[in-house]
Amino acid sequence: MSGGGGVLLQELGVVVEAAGEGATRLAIDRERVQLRGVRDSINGGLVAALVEAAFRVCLEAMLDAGEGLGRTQEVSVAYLSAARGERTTFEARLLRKGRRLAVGEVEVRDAGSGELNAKAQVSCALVPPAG
Amino acid sequence: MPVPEREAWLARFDTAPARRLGVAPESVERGFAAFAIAVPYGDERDDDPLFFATALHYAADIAALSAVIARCELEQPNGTASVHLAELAAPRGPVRVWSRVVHWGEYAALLEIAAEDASGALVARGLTGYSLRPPASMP
Repeated sequence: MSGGGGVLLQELGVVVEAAGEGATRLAIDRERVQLRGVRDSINGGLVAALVEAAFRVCLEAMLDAGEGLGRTQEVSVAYLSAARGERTTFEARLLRKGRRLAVGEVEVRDAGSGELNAKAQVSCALVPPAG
Repeated sequence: MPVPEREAWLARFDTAPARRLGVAPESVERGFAAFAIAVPYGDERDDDPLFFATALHYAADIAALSAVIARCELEQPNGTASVHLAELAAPRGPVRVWSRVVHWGEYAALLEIAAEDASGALVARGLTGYSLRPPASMP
């Protein structure tokens, strides 16, 4: 996945709304989503995938010179309410970046009401600089 | 709600957006369901790891949902409550994602999830909680 510009993110119309030091917010309009879940919400599997994407975009901006982004290790999502807002945001925050592993959390919210739809934790491998 | 009739179940999950992810329904039985992910894609999707990641998460979610539907008697599925997925390895060939009910409670079910590639290697392993509506709460 490269910096939010991947093919699938473009197909889904996902936009990077904000990107700062160790924090990134992605957003998606529900009308663009065809994979639907309970009560016509965004499917939970897609929510988990976008949680993962948000953290990786966040982490890519925090890599040191020569450092690489490795595989996602674990994704844990607590689904709190159905993601049924017109626009849903995925706000990722880096909690800890070590030499070989980074851990972050992601909040999924209805952009209109601010309702928390899901809370997630993601870990991702890092590839240290050669030498 | 018994095990869904196979043709109806295939029709529900064999959709255009699922096919774009390479996800196709495979089998369903009481408390169990399996989906296939046809990777490698052989086109530009192989260059975007989010395609397989999304396929994996989506297949895990609908496998769990299908397993719950195929286990419900009087209860109703209410939605996925949680998922914990460890992504263990990159797939080497087509992947089979399955989910099985390991505990059936009054208000929630616990299911295991696994994804295995054509060589039998584990690609991902996880647990998901699924919220249930008991018969007494229904009108």
